[in-house]
Amino acid sequence: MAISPQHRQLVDTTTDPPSLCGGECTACGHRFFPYQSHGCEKCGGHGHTLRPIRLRAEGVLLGSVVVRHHGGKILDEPFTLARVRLEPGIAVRAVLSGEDLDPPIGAHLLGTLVPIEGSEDVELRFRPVAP
Amino acid sequence: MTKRLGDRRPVYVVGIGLHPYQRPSDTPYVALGLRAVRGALEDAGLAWTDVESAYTATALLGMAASRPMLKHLGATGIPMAQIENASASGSTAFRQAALEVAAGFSDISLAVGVDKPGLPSAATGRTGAGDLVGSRSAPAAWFAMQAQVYLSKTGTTIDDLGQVAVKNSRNGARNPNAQRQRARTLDEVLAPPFVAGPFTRHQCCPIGEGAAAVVVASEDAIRRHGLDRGRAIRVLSSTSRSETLADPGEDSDTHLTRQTVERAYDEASIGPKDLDVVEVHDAFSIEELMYAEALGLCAAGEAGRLISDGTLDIGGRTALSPSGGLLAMGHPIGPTGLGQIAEVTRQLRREAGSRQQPSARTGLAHMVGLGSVCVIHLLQRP
Repeated sequence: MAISPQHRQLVDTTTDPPSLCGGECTACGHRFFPYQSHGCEKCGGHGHTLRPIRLRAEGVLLGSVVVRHHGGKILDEPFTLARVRLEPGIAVRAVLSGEDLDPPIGAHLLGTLVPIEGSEDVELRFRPVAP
Repeated sequence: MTKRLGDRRPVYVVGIGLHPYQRPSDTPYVALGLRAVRGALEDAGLAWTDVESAYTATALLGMAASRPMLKHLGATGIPMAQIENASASGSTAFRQAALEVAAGFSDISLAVGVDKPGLPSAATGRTGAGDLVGSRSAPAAWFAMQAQVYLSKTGTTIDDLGQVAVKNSRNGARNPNAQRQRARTLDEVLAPPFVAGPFTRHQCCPIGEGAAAVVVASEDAIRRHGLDRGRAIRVLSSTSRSETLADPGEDSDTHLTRQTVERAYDEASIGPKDLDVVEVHDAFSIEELMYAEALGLCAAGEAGRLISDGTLDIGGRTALSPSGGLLAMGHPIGPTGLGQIAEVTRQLRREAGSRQQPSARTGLAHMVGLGSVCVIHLLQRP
C-alpha cells in the first residue's frame, strides 16, 4: 500500500515507526512541521538556512474531539481529530486511530500507518499507547 | 515615531445601515450592499456625494466587488478598494476608513461589508505546506476540541456552554437584522444531532448573506454638514495584530485576543470594567467564553457562570453579544465586523430598543480572522 498523496511530502515511511518531515532553522534553532523553505517563522531565515529533519511521530495528546458532521452531512462513521504535541513548540493535528477514540489529555500517542477507508492508500494517524 | 488613533484628529461613527443577514438567496450582492449603504447615509443625514472614499469588505465574492455595486449611487470617482481579511474583513475595512479620516486624507469615509456564500477558498490551502488532516480540521471541529479542553480545565458545564447560545438566540430574536430570529431553550440548544464534540447546530453560527455599512466622519465634516453631534460615536481606538509564535498548548486566538486588547485598552486609557457593551467573534459557543476571559471581562474559567447568572447579559454588568452575536445574528463574513460596529453604535446611542443595555457609554467590537489576525475597536458616546 502506498502513502496517500496528501501525506507523501509530510511522512517518511522508511523509518519505524514512520516519522514526520519537519524542518530546523540553522540560524536560530527553531524547529517546525511541516518542512518548507519559504522562511523561518521565528527569525525569517530562509533558503539553505532551513534544513529538513525527521520528527519522531510520537507525542502527548493536547486535545481531541469526535467529529460527527463534516462536509455538510452527518457522518455514518465519526472520526476523532486530535492535537498532538511532538516536542516543545511543535504540535500537529491528526486523526486518531485504534479502539480508544476518547483518550484523556496527556495520553501518550504513537504514529501509525492506517489504510484509508475506500482507498488503497495509507495515511499517518496516531494511536494511544502505554508510555 | 508611530502614532495611535488618539494622537490624530477624532473620528466618529455617524451613520449605520444593514441589509438583514439571511439564508443564501437569489438577491444580487449589489442589492444587499446598496440597501446597507443607503441606510447608513440616511442614518447619517449625508448624501453619497459627500463620501470621499469607500472600502468594501468581502471574502467570498471574488475580485473587484466595489464599483459594480457603488456606481449605482452615482459614479463620483472616489477611491474604492476591497478589503479581505477572512472573518475580520469588515472590522479591517472599518479600521481603514477610520484611519483615513483620522489621518486627514478624507473627511467622510464609507466601510461596507457584503458577502454571499461563494467561490474563493482560503489561501492557507495553497501555501505549499500541507498538514496531516486537510479539510477534516474544519473550524467546528477545531473549536469543539478547544471546548473539550476548556470544559475539562475549568469545570464549566455543558449547560453553561449551551447558555451562550440560549442568551444569544434570545438577543437575536429581538434583532430584526438577525439571521436566526427565534429564542431557543437550553433543551433545544443541547438537543442532538451533534456536529463535533459538545457542539450542536445552535452552538455553531449560520453563514448566510447580508450587508452592513458604516459611515465615519471628522469633526470638520460633522460641523460642515450640520450632523447630529449627539448621535456621533467616537472611535476611541483601533488595534490589529497577527499571530505570533505561541505555545502549542494555548489556543492561539485567545492568546492573540489578549495581546490585541492590551494595546486597545492602553490606547484608549480604559479597561474592561469600563465596558457596557461587547460584541465578540462567537462563531462557536466556546469562543464567547474564551474571548470574554481574554478581554478581561472576568477571570479564567468564570465566563460560563457569569453568562448563566445574567452578569454578562443585557441588563447585567456588561451586555455580551446584545445583537445575538455571530451565533444568532449570523456570520456572512464580509459584513460581520461592520454589523458589530453598527450594534455597538446603536447601543451607545441608546437606540437599541428592547435589547438596549441601560446607560451604555462604552463598547468594544472584536473579531478574529483565519490566519490568524485580530481586530478590536473601542467606541464611546460623547
